[in-house]
Amino acid sequence: MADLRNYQSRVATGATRADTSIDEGLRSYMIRVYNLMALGLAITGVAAFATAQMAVTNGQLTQFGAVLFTSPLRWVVMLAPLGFVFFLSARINKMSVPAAQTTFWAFAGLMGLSLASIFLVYTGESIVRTFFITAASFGALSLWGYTTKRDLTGMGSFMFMGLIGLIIASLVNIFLQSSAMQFAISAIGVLVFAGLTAYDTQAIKEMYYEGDGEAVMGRKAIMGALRLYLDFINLFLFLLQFLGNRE
Amino acid sequence: MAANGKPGFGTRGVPPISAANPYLGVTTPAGGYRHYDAATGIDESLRAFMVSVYNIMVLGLITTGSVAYLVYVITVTGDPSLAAYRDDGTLIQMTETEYLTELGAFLWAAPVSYAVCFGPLLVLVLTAPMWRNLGPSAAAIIFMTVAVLIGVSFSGLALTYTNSSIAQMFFATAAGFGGLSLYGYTTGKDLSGWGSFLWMGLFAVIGAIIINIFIGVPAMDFAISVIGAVVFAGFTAYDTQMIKEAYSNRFREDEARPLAISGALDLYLDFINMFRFLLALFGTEED
Repeated sequence: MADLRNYQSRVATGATRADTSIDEGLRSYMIRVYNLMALGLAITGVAAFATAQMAVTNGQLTQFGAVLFTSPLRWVVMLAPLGFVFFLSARINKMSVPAAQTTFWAFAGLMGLSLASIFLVYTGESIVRTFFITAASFGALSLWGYTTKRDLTGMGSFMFMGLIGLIIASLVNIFLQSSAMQFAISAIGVLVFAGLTAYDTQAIKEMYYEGDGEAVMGRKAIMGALRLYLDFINLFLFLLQFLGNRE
Repeated sequence: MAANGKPGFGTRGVPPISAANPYLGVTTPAGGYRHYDAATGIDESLRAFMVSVYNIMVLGLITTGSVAYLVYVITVTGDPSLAAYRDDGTLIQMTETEYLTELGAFLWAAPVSYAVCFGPLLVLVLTAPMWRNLGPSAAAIIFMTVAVLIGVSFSGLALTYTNSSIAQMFFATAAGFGGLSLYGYTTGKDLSGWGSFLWMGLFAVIGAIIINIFIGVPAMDFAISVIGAVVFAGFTAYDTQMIKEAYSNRFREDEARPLAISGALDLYLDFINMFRFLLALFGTEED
């Protein structure tokens, strides 16, 4: 089970959790993670908004929009963010910190291009509202994950099974095509990614090691930021299905 | 187990086999005694353990397959006279030749359809935190429950895809799975680094599935399935190595049995998900 997946990290980090006194190094590391993540989200937001502005006028796709969403280029737009996630997690240990950071910005920008499509489906106002609701809940969950003394590693297998279960549930809905069931799947998705936010925050905190050099620390911060960024985006997308108003 | 590139067991604190003493037994952390034949490099107890993992996993797959087939047979009929009616008096027709029986209408209507859809998820999530402390019989019961519930969910696949394409994809998945698991078992490379990579991939796939609910591009379904299949192919090799490692690192001899069952569940889920994405890619949909 996913228990096995956490085996090594449990052994490696089990001893350090008791220390809760304020640690300046840890604090600056976590702030760095949050800054990277927030800047990534800002880039995504700006890119998505700008793309949506350029792609649509008066409810019609412009030439730019047509190229982006209907030509074969749409493959690049759809797949590039996934490619970047794979690339970054596979190569991070061989990249310099500035290179990894640039890759992360490029990823965030491309993610914005992909996400522009939600502006075509939902009203701007409901997107902004959902964004702030996501931000508030993300903040609270992450803060909880950061401050709690409870060991959340057990939650990892819990969340992993949740994701697997969601994939199986979405399969059933392929032929049932029930919108109520889609709604229930989204509700569970919100719960899973809410849990992952707290879990990842604690895991990122556990990854911190005082003796790390600047390069190692920088890489850890970027990977941590990527994890939280993906939690945020997924939480946002699931919430949007409840809170978004269709145009 | 040359995970670190060393001969013999690359795990913590275990002495390597010396050429002078080819039948060196190694004391495991469990205090057990492991037999290994330096001439062939085969560790009998590890081998027996992995065989039991695969046996349990295959048993789970057979259960799922039989349940899926059985449920399909009793819920779907080709004979309109056996079919169930909607409230408005029309027959519940799924495809040109398939009608739902009364049982089928019961199974695929709320609230039972919710139980079918979310049953596996519920059992998996609720039992996830327990696995560390489960006894062998409790673990076996949970595993079989999951296999049966997934079988019920999967019975609907036969409504969407033609039976021959389901069979084809099953064998294709089995072949791919076997190769990947064998790779994970035999490779000298340390695959633990794949963990974060696969985990991120899984996140990205889920994100893409949600985005595609809004925009509904069939081409993107295709892309999602490709990546989903790749991610679970990776998990197959990764999990195989992790199960092997967990066996070597166990502390007590009696941990081996629950470990075999939880390992089998991991591999079973990898198989099922790989099958699901391959079917979405190459399966032929019924009209």
